[in-house]
Amino acid sequence: MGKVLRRFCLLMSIGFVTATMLNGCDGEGCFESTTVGVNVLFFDSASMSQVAISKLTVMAFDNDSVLINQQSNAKNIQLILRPDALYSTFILNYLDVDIQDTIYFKYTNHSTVISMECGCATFSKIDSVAFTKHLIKSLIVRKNEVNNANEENIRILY
Amino acid sequence: MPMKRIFVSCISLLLLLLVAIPAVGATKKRKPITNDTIPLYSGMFVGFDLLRPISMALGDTYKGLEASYEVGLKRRYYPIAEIGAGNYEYNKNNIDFKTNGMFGRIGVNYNMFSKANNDYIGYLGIRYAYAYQKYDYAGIAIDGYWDTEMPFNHIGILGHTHWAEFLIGIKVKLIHQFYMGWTFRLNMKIGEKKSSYGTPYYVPGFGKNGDKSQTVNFSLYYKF
Repeated sequence: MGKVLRRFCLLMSIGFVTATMLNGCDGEGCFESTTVGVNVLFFDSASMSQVAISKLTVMAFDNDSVLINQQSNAKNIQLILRPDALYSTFILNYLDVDIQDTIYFKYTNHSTVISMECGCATFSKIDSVAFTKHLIKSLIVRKNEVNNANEENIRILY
Repeated sequence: MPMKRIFVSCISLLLLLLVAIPAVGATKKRKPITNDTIPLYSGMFVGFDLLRPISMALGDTYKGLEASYEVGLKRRYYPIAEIGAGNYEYNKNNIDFKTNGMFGRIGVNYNMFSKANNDYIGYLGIRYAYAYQKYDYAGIAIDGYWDTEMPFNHIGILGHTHWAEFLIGIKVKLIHQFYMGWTFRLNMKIGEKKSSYGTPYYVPGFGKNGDKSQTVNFSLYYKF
């Protein structure tokens, strides 16, 4: 019986030491991006090279908060679609020339758990885009899945 | 579900091999042993994991069972099949996660002490593992800019995960035919089915989802 007890104690010691070592390796925390929005890049229609807008303010319809406030040399922006609606409209105000353009998105939503640590977010799929042509010449939908991958969704040509 | 069919086929083939090998070993036993004194068939182990029932009794939210079946060849190689099932519940950041599923593993252990005392088996091993699960996510998605709260309840999302395991373990003979031992596993994920509602937080047999994980078994074995 002493042999059995000795062996059992040996096993318990091995298990305790190794489990303690493994326990220290467990990582917790949010490592994924939680930013979700339509990533818009600005391009020159002639040279097809990326351009910067000297001063830009962006607002959404039905929201008093300014999304982008007087951003200088804006080469790209992120438009946050309304999660509890199937369409969102944004006004791009080019402050240096005092001209406005409007972009209208029609889309579908679904809630996604990014991770238990990061929480959840609403991902969208853009069905269609309409826009005014005050300063904008054209608009290309590069990727209609709006998620946290931080990829280009829309390319606006001036 | 081609992956599921391949998995079922692999398990069936391995079980067939595990059943056939002892019979081959038994016939060889009657032949005179020449140079090699260790017979081809060197016993069969059936094991049950004790760690899950113990942690369940201590209040762990993972509830599961796990069993293994392995055959010794020359006391050095131990082809093994393992099967288990479990369910798990977790809540964090106002998200409820629930899952239940099953998993299987096939592989082989290499006994590093094959020429030493028969009462100790210290081994390195590799496995291919696959888990099938259903999981639910429920919670509220909050958007700061639009000041909205969107409740969601995704039920019965299917998850398929497969991974490789590299492990080290020890079995010690306690009394008669009973052995007890630890297995420490490093799990490396090979692939998983992506769902647009989110990947499972926990995968039965793999543990907390990620590129890799560590799991431990503490098992009781009976040697036939």
